[in-house]
Amino acid sequence: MTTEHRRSSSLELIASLVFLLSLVVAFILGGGQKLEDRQDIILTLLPSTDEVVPLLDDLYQVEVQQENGPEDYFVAFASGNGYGGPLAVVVVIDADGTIHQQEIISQQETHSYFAKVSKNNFSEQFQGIEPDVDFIFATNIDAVTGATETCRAITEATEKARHLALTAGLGLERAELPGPSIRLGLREIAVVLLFAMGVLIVTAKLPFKRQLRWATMIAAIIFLGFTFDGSVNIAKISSFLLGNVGDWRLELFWILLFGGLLVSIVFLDKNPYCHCYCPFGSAQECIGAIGNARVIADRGLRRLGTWLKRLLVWFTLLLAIYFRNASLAGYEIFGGLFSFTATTVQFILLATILVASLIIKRPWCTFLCPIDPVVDFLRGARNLCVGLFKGDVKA
Amino acid sequence: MTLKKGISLGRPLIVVLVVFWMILIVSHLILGLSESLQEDAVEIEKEDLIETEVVNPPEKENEQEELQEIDPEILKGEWSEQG
Repeated sequence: MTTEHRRSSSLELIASLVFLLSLVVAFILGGGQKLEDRQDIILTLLPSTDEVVPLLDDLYQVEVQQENGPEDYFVAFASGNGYGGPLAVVVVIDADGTIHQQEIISQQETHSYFAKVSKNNFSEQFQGIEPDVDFIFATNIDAVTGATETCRAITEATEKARHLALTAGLGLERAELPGPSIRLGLREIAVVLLFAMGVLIVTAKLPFKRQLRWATMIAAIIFLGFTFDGSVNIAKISSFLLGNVGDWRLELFWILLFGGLLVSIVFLDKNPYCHCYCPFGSAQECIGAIGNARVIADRGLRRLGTWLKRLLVWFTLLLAIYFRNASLAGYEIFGGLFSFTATTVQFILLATILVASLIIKRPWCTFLCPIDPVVDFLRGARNLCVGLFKGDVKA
Repeated sequence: MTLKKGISLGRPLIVVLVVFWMILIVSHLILGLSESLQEDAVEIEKEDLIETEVVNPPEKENEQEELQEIDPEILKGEWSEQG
């Protein structure tokens, strides 16, 4: 090991320890989970409230003074897990069981997705739904294109709240809401197949490896990118770190996507995701093939890129953990390309990155991608453990 | 590590490009944070709510009969007048 390499390894070890320690400090110093004041929420939704009686933890009976005399309403709270984090809703039903109001009271969803849902007034369609009408997502509840996960989470939370109000509040007999069924579909199958191809490419000696890699990358762009809009991203990692794991049956796609990467790092010390089936990395490489893009040869610039990415990850995770809001960490631009969902700033960033991809090979991956430092960190931790186990620390 | 291929773009141009991207990312993060903080800062109007009465869970027998299906333990509730 050269002196320069040893110095670099020591620096990375110190940086990793500072990184971990700062996250712990941010968690301790950061604002605790802000509990919404339910009394205020009820009074805001029903300003003429006379009396509020709590029936259950998430259910209240409210007497409201109307022109014709007092009327009873039931107010129920529930939450669902969106793309970037949890969303909480409140549902007000009248004495007939019809939905009088539905509002989202708190959310940690990725900003661009939530903005899209709000702009399209997704929640308005719940108003006036009668008790005998079931919510059937994508049938009588229309999702907003490009924010399906967010809409699904809102719908599930609304259904949960309404069910509580109808059964425990109004005493109606209704079939139990079906528990979450395992969400195993085309996107889960796609991610498993892409993972298998990726592992094969990075581990086996194959005659048509290059062609196979290109086929895998194109499949990743089509399926993981444009069809399912699912990439390993820092907002989801922050969400996991904040404990927003959700139900495994509903989160199977993310478990397979992140689990595949983790398994490859731990058992193979390889990263097939970035190399073979990251949809955005693949898209950059395809554009690069058109412009005959070249890798950055300057070692100084490459080193700058490595530390910039680490700095960005450190900063965004600190923000997310301190404010207990995973969506604050999301700065990636994948949504802009694959589902046309992004802020104006992200669209500008995306456009310049795509143009730069024509001449620089994978500029996003080289200078800005937050996944690379996470992979580096995991590989470093893995190698440290392996070294300790073998009695030969190589860090 | 020696790379066989290099790009012809000058180092300063790439540095300028990277700085531009960093500015965009940082402004995106700051905008997101300020929006999130603004949402938190919105205070609920309470001017019309002075007359509102918030009661503790019912304890009388007849009221409990009306809510037979609800566990009496739960009816003791955790509702506080301060919310």
